[in-house]
Amino acid sequence: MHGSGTGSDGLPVVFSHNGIVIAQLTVNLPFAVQLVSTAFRRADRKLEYVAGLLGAGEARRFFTILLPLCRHSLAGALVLVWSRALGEFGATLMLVGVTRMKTETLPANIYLNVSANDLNGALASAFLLLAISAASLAVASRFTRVDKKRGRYE
Amino acid sequence: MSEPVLELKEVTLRRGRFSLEGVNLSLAGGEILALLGRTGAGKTLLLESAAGFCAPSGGQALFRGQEVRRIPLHRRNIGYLYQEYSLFPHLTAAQNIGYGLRVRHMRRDEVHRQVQQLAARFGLERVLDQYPGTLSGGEQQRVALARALAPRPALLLLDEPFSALDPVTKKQLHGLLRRIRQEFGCAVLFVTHDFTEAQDLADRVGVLAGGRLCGIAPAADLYRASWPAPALEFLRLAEQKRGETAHDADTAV
Repeated sequence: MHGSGTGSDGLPVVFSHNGIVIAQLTVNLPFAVQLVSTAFRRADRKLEYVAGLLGAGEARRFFTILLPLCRHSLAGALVLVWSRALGEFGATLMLVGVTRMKTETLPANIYLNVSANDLNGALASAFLLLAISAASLAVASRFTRVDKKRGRYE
Repeated sequence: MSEPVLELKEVTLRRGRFSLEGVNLSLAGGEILALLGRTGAGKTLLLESAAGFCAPSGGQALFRGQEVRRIPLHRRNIGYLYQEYSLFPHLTAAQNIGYGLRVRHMRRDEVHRQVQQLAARFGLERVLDQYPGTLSGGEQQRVALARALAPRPALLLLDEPFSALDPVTKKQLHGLLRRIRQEFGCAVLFVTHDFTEAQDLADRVGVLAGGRLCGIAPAADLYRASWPAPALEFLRLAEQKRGETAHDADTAV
């Protein structure tokens, strides 16, 4: 009912690309918020206080102290949420269905190919998913790598 | 008579079962006041409430006549040195020292010049490009002090600034602190459990014992002033310890 309402307002959801985005947001946003807020909560507040006394306002403290301190945790959170979103299938299936070349995500493509007994096609999509995951991991490793210059121990 | 830089009026701090009641003190510009107390006496908590990091359970902490917590954090003009230094680990020593200057939109070349000047004064020229994780305790302490002083604060709050250092480094930094007061003109409040340090460095010394500030006396009169019982016990232990230390030094081969 809501979907038909938004559809008539010019924002189709059910059986539409927009629905994929909404399904992903609904399933993954709480997860992302939890991870990111945990990362910020675990930062050393003393460093923020010191930065404040040195003259940095709130925004400056956030961008120059909090964000750099939490970059490893945030990169890790990004990888986890991205990986989760890559493999998301159930909510997408429920909201937008699985229609070839219309609402077809990679997991949906594997599902369709297996249903149609096209195992080669399913395998190809599976390898593509694997390649994207590996690339994501490599990029995340770049951001979570500990800089040896900053510590005493290697 | 000019307004005190820092004033604590009947400041009370309660955290769980701990309480520190009715602290009254006043600190004038250019003065060094030391607060002595054993571990758990509330020294750090008192310092944090003077900086406005936490609200006192009662009373007022005033900075230049204003309640410190009503002043936005970035406008307080107070320097703070944590016991564990709290250097920014993702910035080099030079970037740490210059942080307070850069956020004031000072020109890059002027920031560089002032950082170099401070580094020369604190003996940090050779470690400016290093990160805090690679510095020794003494070096970290000096970087933290230089960073706190760079914006020329009116008040410097030091939490056991020399406790983790060896005697030689301590002596060097004691001399530095005396010069800081002369050159930077800021009021200094530091907390310590080291009696010798308090007496050597401060103009006046206060003793925290038995859940309150037992009194403040000129440093030279620390052992001659009349103190209430909890403070007396603390000071007697200190005097005994000083005697043992002097005896050990005399009898050392």
